[in-house]
Amino acid sequence: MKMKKKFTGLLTAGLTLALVMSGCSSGTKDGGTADSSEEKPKTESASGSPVEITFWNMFGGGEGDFVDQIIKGFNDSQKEVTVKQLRLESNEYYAKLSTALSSSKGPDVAVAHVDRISPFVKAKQIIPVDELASKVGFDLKQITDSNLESVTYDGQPYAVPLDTHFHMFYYNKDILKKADLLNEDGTPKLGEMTPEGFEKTLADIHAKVPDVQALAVNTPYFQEPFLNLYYEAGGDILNPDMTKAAINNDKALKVLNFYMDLYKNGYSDLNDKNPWDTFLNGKAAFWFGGVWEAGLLLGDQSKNIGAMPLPPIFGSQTHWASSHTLVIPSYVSPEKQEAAAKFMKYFSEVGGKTWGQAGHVPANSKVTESEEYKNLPYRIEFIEAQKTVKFAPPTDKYTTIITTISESLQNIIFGSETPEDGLANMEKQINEVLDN
Amino acid sequence: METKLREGKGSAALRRSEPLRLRTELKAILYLIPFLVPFAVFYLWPVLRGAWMSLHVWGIQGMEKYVAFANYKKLLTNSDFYTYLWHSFYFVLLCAPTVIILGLALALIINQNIWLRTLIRSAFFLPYVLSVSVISFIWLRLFDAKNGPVNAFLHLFGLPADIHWLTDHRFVWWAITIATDWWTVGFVMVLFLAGLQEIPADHYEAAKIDGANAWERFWHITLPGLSRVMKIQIFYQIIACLKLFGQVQIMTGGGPGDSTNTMIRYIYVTGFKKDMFGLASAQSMVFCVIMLLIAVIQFKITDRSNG
Repeated sequence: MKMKKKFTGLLTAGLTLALVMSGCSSGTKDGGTADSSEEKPKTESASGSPVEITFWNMFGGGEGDFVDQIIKGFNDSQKEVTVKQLRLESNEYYAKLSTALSSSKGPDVAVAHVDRISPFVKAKQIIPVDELASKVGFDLKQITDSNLESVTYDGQPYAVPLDTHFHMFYYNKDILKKADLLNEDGTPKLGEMTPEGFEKTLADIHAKVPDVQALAVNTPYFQEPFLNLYYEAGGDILNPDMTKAAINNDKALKVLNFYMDLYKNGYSDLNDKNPWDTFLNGKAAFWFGGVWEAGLLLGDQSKNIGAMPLPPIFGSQTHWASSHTLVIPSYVSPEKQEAAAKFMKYFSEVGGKTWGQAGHVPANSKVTESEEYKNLPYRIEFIEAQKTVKFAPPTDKYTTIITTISESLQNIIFGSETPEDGLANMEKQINEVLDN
Repeated sequence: METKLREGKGSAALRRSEPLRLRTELKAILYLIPFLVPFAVFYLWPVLRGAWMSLHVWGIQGMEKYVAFANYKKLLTNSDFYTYLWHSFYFVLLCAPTVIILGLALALIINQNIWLRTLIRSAFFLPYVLSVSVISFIWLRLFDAKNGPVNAFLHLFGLPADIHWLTDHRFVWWAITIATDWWTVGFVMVLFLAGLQEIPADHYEAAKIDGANAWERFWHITLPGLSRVMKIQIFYQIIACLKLFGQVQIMTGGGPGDSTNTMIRYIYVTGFKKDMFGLASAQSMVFCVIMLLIAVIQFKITDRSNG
């Protein structure tokens, strides 16, 4: 009895301690910059001791493992810089990063999506990276043009793009075989590339394999499949000078009506809350899935899944994309900035190979040109698809705009608004946001 | 009665001597400090700051500009606000009565000397100790249209087609209500049980001798005996239902469309997803005032019936 009590006491004490300690540890990481003044003379005088930099990211699960590998690889490869990472919950990541940047306390280098950096650039909270890159011998010309352009403001790059990620057209070969729509070489027979033509293909599948969805549509995040086809049709969210919404038009209406047709005819299931699982479990013939799903979908040969660029159903091959980038906050001391630049160089040039395995297409063209990368399954298709990507408009209101769009779209597809009213409403709301 | 007595004492002290009263007051404040300080720091200050924010355009980067009451104007002219406010009240209408009736029924059953009484009581109370995310994920799985146990169970009774509990606007509120009822009914039950135990047994005996049947005994003895607990329950349930957020956020994401978007989720989306903290603060201030009004009205009603 007594032993037991002692043990529980110890346990509680231990738990409390663990809780307190974990609180402390994040505190010291947060305050990482505060120590810089003490460390500065040390690093300058004794050339041996490394500069320690804090790296923030939001990668969980499989992606996180690849990042761990890259950081370990960097720390082992040289003795000048040590990278310590702080991994944050992806839901709260930008709230924390923004707070850190505006209070000048936080990471020395951080991951940010390309569509999120605009407010940071505007508030001068992150610095241009071109001078730093040349200082550490990192040739930014290695970065694919479209990526570099996406982080350029007033002629200067403000981040190092790591990758491009977008959607691929995944297909289930077993189902297509049953529907008699599989070519000899294992690619799908897609028929005429028009909305009607594609619907006919789906109708074929629906007729021959009735117990599966012909196309699993990402209904919970409907903005993604919508934007893919809307961009194909040549649409834009905002007008060129980003002062007004440009979404209330015929192209958007056609795309919406196309999807609603699919739901109505039973080619896609409006009530499917996990379409990605439906496709993974062989219950759907087609799926517009992210490149980051490549490991899961293409890794297992027995699933018999293939991938190709999104078919040009609405005319062009232009499609939605985003990109992970590395940014350096402006409060970081020059020594640490340089150290961070070294890490960026490594992440892009060497880490890119590891990162490519996660599915994202590395932004460094040296990596994507390597045989090592091309030998990964379907990566040639990925590179092909990357050529026609379209990034979000570089406005600091993008988060608000995309949330507005995704909410309105839910109202439209679930029938509480007609597509016409929904688009008009969306336009009105976006214009209000832009006026502010 | 009680309040009157206290007032009487206070005025007597006042008449006796001024310094003594001051000392008592100071003493009272001293005793209140352990509560007042955290209350001021963690409640009053954020509320005041929220009021201040609601007068500005405020992004995640901080204050952008002062706009006076523009946020309030924008909010009150937006039809979404009224829709979501109605959703919040609609849920009160669905959930508060059902959970109270169910809780009362369970309490009455368990109050009988039945077999395995403790086990049943714990079984019904158990969900209450779970967090909202846990119960939401449980019911998310249970209500799954294709592989969910709820539909499978209904199929046994000859349900012809799948019910899309969480994506069909005819069923979604019921799904949320069932999940919430299951989660909180245990707590309601326990409070009613405590209330039932306070009713003297001799009332029932007397009624029996007078020839009252079970229904009459329930109507004339049990219900009046529970009136105090009942008032607290109603008050508590209305407030709890108005604050609905976790269940819809996890189970439906406010969907299908926006048919389960409640006030709290509206505030959350405006602030944290759309990065409009000024507008979100204005929404919270308005909703807070509405909740306070409800509380005041309820207090008035209960006070009157008590006196």
